[in-house]
Amino acid sequence: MNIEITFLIVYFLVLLGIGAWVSRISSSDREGYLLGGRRLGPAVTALRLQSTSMSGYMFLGAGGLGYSQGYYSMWYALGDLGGGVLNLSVLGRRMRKLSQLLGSITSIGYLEHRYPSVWTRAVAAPIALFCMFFYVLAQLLAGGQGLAMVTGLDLDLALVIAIGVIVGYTLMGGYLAVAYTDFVQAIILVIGMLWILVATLQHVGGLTAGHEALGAINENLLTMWGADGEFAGQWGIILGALLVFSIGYMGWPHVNVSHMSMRRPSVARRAGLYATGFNLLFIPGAYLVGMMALLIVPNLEDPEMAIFRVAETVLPAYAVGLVMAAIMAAIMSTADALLLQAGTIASQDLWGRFVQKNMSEKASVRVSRLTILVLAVIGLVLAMARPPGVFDIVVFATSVLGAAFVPAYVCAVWWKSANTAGAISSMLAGTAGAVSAELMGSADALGVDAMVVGILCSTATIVVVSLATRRIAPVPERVRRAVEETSRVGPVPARLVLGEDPTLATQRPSVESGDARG
Amino acid sequence: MATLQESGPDYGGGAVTMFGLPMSTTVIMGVVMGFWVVYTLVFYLSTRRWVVEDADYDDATSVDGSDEGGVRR
Repeated sequence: MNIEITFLIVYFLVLLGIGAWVSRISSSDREGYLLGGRRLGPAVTALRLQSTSMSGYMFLGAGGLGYSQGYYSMWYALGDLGGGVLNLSVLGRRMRKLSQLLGSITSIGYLEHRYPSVWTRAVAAPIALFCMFFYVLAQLLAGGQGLAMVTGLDLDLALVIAIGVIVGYTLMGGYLAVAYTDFVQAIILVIGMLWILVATLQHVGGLTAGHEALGAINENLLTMWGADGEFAGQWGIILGALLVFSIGYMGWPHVNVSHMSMRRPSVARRAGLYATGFNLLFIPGAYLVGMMALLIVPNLEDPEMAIFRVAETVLPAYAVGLVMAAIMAAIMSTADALLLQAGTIASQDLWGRFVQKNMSEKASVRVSRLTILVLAVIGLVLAMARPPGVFDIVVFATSVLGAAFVPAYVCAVWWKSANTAGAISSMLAGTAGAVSAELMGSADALGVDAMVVGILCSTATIVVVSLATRRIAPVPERVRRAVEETSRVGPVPARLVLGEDPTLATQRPSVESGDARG
Repeated sequence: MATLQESGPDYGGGAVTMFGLPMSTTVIMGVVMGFWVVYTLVFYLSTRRWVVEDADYDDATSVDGSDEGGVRR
């Protein structure tokens, strides 16, 4: 058994061990299983948020983009650098506070509580579930492919092992296990990336020498305008590259749940510092190694293998094992969060809301676990069928998620006049806008990214519809009060805190006037 | 033979600057990365007041994840 495989086996056992440990210390109720009992500190919050956002794309797609487009790829990195702190500063404290005031324990349920209508959940849950399922399917497939690549195992067997490990610790420990394993995996990501970056720069004679050699191949690789200069003046495309991993994150339900699980609202402050620190250490390196791969392993058939091939070339065998673990970490830390959230949406936001409304706490957790298992099995079967174009759908699905949900989540805490009609129409308009733009090829035809089109549609819609319907569909007083309270920094009046009521979420009694200060 | 830095090749009008990169690339990278660093620090320093809420949550967040959550009166 070679050292890479030994390293991976140890790594998988550690993840399963964390899942088993967390299952012993965590509570068995829904808040414990779905939000880790709302007790995560800044380090775990930040690194969980970031590692969940960084999928296998960072080791495959990012390296490939750097390899083929040079410094143009850095537009994605530049947007990504601020994604974490932007999300935490805009949503973090307020979403943590409002979700508790409204008694929300799922990121889709939170939308229904803020925009009270059964239609909010009926619209949001299917959009989120559809996009996230394709996203998780691609991550599961990438996990299997990564494992097969490292170990030489048959892909089907590798899929079973990779999915088995992810499902194992997710089922055992729920959100807390996902958060803790993501924390560990984020550390492995940084160590792996820094190691390969340093070794790569040493191999090419330093950063300046590497740039000079790249310039000798193609001067355009050192510019921000593409290998053929094709993106010069294409500001719509560039804006999309900047936005997809910065503002786009604020619409991803599996990422936003991090805010709801913070120990207290102020955790967002230090988490912002850690998130930016992590990003600075990790993100640019992926694109830079991809560029330098042109010098180390030229003429690759598949540019997405750039980082992997560089690792094999410049690192000693034992370090290659660490980098392989980092690649698996990037994939698995996204897959587990997606799987947990997809399972949560299916079980809590759809089944528990519309089918079996009066589940007990334990039954609810059992249904969540069962749903995760079912989704994983479906994902395994589909992944084994090797569906074509899955990775193309991922980019599309993440764009739709951002376009559909960013205004709804942001306005939920920043604009108390955003109402149910505005939010529902915004989600539909964002989805329709992004899908239409993608189908019509807006990037090529108009030079505007599909997500930019979608976000413009959803933002304009929530503003226009909320204003147009503010008299006929006003925001309920108790919700308006909760949003006002959320914007205020200070103790929360106890009477504003509502317990979770999954069956009658839209029919909670209003908070009586005059008790706002408790 | 002159090196790239000595000869200063024309990258679409930009001269080679730090780390062998064209001026435009150096400026864009530096400005945007600097923006996020400054944004992070401003966010951290300007939100010091948020800790006044902590007392509410410190005592009440139970290890067993009880429904009471973080707010207690």
